[in-house]
Formats: sequence, structure tokens, C-alpha cells
Amino acid sequence: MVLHLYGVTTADAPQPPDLKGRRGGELRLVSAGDLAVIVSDVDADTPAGRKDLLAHAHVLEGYAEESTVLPMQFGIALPDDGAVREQVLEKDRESLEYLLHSFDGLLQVTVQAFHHEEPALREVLRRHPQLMAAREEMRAFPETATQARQVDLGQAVASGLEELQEEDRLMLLDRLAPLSRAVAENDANGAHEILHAAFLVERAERGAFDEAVGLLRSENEDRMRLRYVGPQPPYSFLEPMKTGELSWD
Amino acid sequence: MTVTQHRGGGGYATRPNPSGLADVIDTILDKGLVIDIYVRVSLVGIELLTIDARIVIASVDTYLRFAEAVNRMDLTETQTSGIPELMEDLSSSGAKGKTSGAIEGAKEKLSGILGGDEEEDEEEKKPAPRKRTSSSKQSSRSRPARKSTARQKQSEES
Repeated sequence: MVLHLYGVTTADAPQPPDLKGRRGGELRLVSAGDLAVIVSDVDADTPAGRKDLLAHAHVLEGYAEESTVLPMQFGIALPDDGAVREQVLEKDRESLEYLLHSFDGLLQVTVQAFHHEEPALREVLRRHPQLMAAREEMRAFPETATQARQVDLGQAVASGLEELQEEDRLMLLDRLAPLSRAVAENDANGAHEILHAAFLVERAERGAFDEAVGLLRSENEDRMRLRYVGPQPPYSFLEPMKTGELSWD
Repeated sequence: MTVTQHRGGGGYATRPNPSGLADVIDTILDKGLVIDIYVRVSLVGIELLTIDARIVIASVDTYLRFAEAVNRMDLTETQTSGIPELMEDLSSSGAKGKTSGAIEGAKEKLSGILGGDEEEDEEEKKPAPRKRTSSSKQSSRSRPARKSTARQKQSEES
């Protein structure tokens, strides 16, 4: 048996009800002073599958509901409580305390938005009538005869889509960013992804954020799909907070 | 009789969902605290996860797919520019069912990589792009042009 490490929190963090660790393991805190590591027992040679990954993420999300949590990367195990105290809590105490303090009362939520393809293509054609004309022209010929022009058409469509995505990305950020303390954007990828952003939100403001997402979702449901994930520990903000890129004290 | 919109009983509020497999790739596998000395548990199959399956948006292949999607679209409504949305709803019984059409083929299935006990939540999977961070106060920075590279991230194995 080894201890699987999930994340660091405060020693007084309440254990979320009904929450289990990897392979159904019981969760507990290994604490030293006012810091604690969330752990559960796991067989040393347990392979990691998708359920283990999800369990790790869900444990952190469960704690993030009520407590400030610093996530550990998946896959860290130590032999016993002593090693956890020594290797994690004592060694990095100062940095962990700073981070827990900095993220106190804050949580992360992630928003991803994707255009529905057909309405997006329609909008591109509506804005660029010349593309529609090109399409009509080519229809008279067999596809094999127009391949180069098909590529040109597709390229023009792709650039029209990007323009539309950029517009909607700014619209979404405009509505959501003011409700958050900080934003970390991933590069969008996938042909129709508009936005993929993590927001650092005050726990007290969470209702307002939920509402804003719900409103955006219903206003735009015929054009786009929104994924809304959380509450998460501040994954995307750990590094910037450590390096000082982000700070508010 | 007037109809009022009630914003009291929750209004539009929506609760966020727990992470799915697509999310863990750029959270717990990519970010988070590490310690100097640690024992990695056996990560069967994890290295496969880090193969960046991002869609190559700027490729001939994608362009052809877009062209094809545009070609097969029925545009009679678009041209009337009057009530296109309504027409669309009536004629295509909801665009949503078709939305994934043109690019579906470009997406790699993540499912299966981790053992294949298939379930829910397979969304657009999108392995670990690099993050950009900004304080919301200092708002908009322009996003870098999407690149056509299909990248391969390094294996997570130590």
C-alpha cells in the first residue's frame, strides 16, 4: 500500500460527504500544523485508468466546493504519513501557505464554447456573398474538376469562421471576465471551438457567475454550445501565482 | 394578461458539471503541484494521452471538408435573409444534430486509450494546449493565429 496524494488544503477542511478516492479508497487528511494533504490508500501497483484520473479530479472538485485546495498532479504517491509530512508539508511549507492564502475564498470554473457548425457556416456565407457565388459557380462542374477552387473556398470559409469565433470569444469574455478575479485562456482548438478559459471566481460570486453562464447559454443556444465545468481547484492559476505573474497582496 | 419573466427562482443559473476525461488532460496531467522526490504510480497508457490530437485546422483536408459542408448545405433560406432562423428550424429539424458533420473525421477518439470502458461525456477532446493567463482587469489580448501544427507533446513518463 502507498498513499495517493490528491492535493493540499487546510487542516480544518471538512471532508465532503460520500466522497471516495481512487478505487473507492477512504479519504483522509495527513496534517502538519495548519496544512494538510488529502490522501487515500492505494495498492502500489494499481494501474491508472480513466476511472483513476476522474477519481483524482473529482476528489479535488469535491473539496473545492467548500475549501481552498491546491491540486497535485496525478500520479504522486508516497509510502506513509511521515513521508507526506516531510516531502510535502515541511519542505514546501512557506510556498504552500502563501498559495493557500492567495487562493483563499477563490475557486476555478472552466468554460468552453463551440459553434454549431451549420449556423456558423450559414453566417459566414451570409457575411461573404462572394463565397456563395463561388459555390454556385462550382456546382456546375464535377467536384474533381474544381478541387483547387474547392480548397480556396474551404480556406475562405475557415477564415470566415475564425473571424466569427474571435467575435464571439470577445463577447463571451466581455460578459464573464468582469465576474472573475482572473482569466486563463487555453488556445482554442478544434475547428469550432470559440473559447476555452478558466476563470478564478470568488466563492461568494459563484451564483452570479452561474447565472451569467446560464444566460449566455440560453441566449446563444441556437448558435453555440457551452460547457461549464467546476468548481475546480485553481489549476490554471497555480503557476502564475507562484511566479508572481498573478498577485494581490 | 401579462407575462413576466421570473428571475427569482434560480433564473438562468446553471450549475457547473464535474470534470470529464477531456478535462483532466489539461488539469491533473498538465498542471498541479509536484514534489521533488516522489514515486510515480504506474501510469499505464498515460503516455498515449499526451499525444496531441489537436485538429489541424489549416490543412487542405480541413478546407475540403468545409467546402463540402458548404456545398451540400441547402441555402435557400439563407438567401432570403428575412427569417432564416425560423426557416432553418422548420426545414432542418434543428441544426444541432448535424453540427459535428464536417469535422468529425478529424477528431481522434480518446476513448479506448484508457482501457475503453466507454461511457458518457465524450466531448471535443482537446489535449493540453498551453495556457495564457491574464488578470481580468488588464483584459483583452489578441489570440495568436491558430497554427497548423499537429504537435506531439513529450511523454509524461519520467
